[in-house]
Amino acid sequence: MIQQHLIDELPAYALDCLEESERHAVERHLAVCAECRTEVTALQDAAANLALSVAQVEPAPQLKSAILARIATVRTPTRSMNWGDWLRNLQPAWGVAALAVIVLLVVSNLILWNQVRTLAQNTPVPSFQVVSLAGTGPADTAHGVMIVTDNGRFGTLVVDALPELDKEQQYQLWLILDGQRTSGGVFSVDSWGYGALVIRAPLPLDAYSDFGVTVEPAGGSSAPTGDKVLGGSF
Amino acid sequence: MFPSDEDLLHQIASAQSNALAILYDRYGRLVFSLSLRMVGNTSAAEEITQDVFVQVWNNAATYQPALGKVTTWLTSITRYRSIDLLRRRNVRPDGHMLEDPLEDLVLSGGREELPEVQVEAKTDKQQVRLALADLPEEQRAVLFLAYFQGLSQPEMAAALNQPLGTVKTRVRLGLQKLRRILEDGELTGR
Repeated sequence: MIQQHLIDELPAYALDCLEESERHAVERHLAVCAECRTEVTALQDAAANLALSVAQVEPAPQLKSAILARIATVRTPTRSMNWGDWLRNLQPAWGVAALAVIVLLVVSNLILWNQVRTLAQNTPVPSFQVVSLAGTGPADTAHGVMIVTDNGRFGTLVVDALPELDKEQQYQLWLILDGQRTSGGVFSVDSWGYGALVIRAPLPLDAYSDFGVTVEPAGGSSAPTGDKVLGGSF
Repeated sequence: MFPSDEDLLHQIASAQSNALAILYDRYGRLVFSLSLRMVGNTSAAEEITQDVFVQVWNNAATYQPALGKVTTWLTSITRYRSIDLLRRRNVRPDGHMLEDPLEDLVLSGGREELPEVQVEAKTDKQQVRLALADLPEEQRAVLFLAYFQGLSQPEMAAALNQPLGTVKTRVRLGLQKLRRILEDGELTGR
């Protein structure tokens, strides 16, 4: 579906002064429109300049030490160092040794991979069952896929292009059998509309005939109460 | 070498507290001044400033340069925390808030900074001040009410006693013009 750009609403969105329903409409559009995302980023940068216009006041000197003391007591940042950071922080001699270990690991992995491939050619590969979910209602450009193990015991849902929700709301997966809806778990999506859920269910997943996703209060509901945004069947 | 803002966030994401200290030296005054302008109370502004930098410490890995500058991210966190406090206090716009916002714009020197930061910051502030002065007064007023008071367009329409459509037009034209002036450096000499 081709959506019209929302150029007129983007300045108010960048200033965060839209009403909630208007903001949700813009966010749904931004989830699928790279051109408007670029535009809104530039407008947000322009709006942030307003902060430079205020009278600059020097905070108390002890504020900095209070912040540094606080971060020493809170958990460390969410991302640990990646390989690049780690190597950069090593002394040169240790860097060479680390590189040698990495090369050794790569070579041994290649050998192992070859062995696994040989084994796999002689071993039956378990199959997965796949269920496609299509966007409905306010999220008609969204889509999802459920991947279920062949015995139906485990499954994962991956979704894309769903509107990002307020922190008070989450998406909830419903597993439907003879009209009865059982929760398969709740999940949120990032600003790009992407999210994933490891499904928890009392019955094997292939026992259910249909699946739906609705918008619910954070933590989920005992039965669907909000708009249905995705649906699909085995 | 002088680390960029993005470099600092990368280091903060790797738990390097000295990088957070440098980021604070660079933007602590901006965050504190913005929150003080919004909540009007020194101890609340100090608390918000602490919360902003702790949030940066915890979430630096989630910062995406493609979604805006580091200053946009920092000021955005500061605004949300300040607006949250204003809403909890249920503060409504009063006469002071509706005054011409340029009246309380003061450029100050003051703190000793690394020379390149100081020059860059002064240039930016002067440019923003000139750009805001170039906007029609009614457009400037809605930008300030939205940005500093966190008012929605209907709330601004009620506060200014203007039709909602008029407020929407002022918001749209005001921010588009501010962006154009800041990007192109062209003042119209309104």
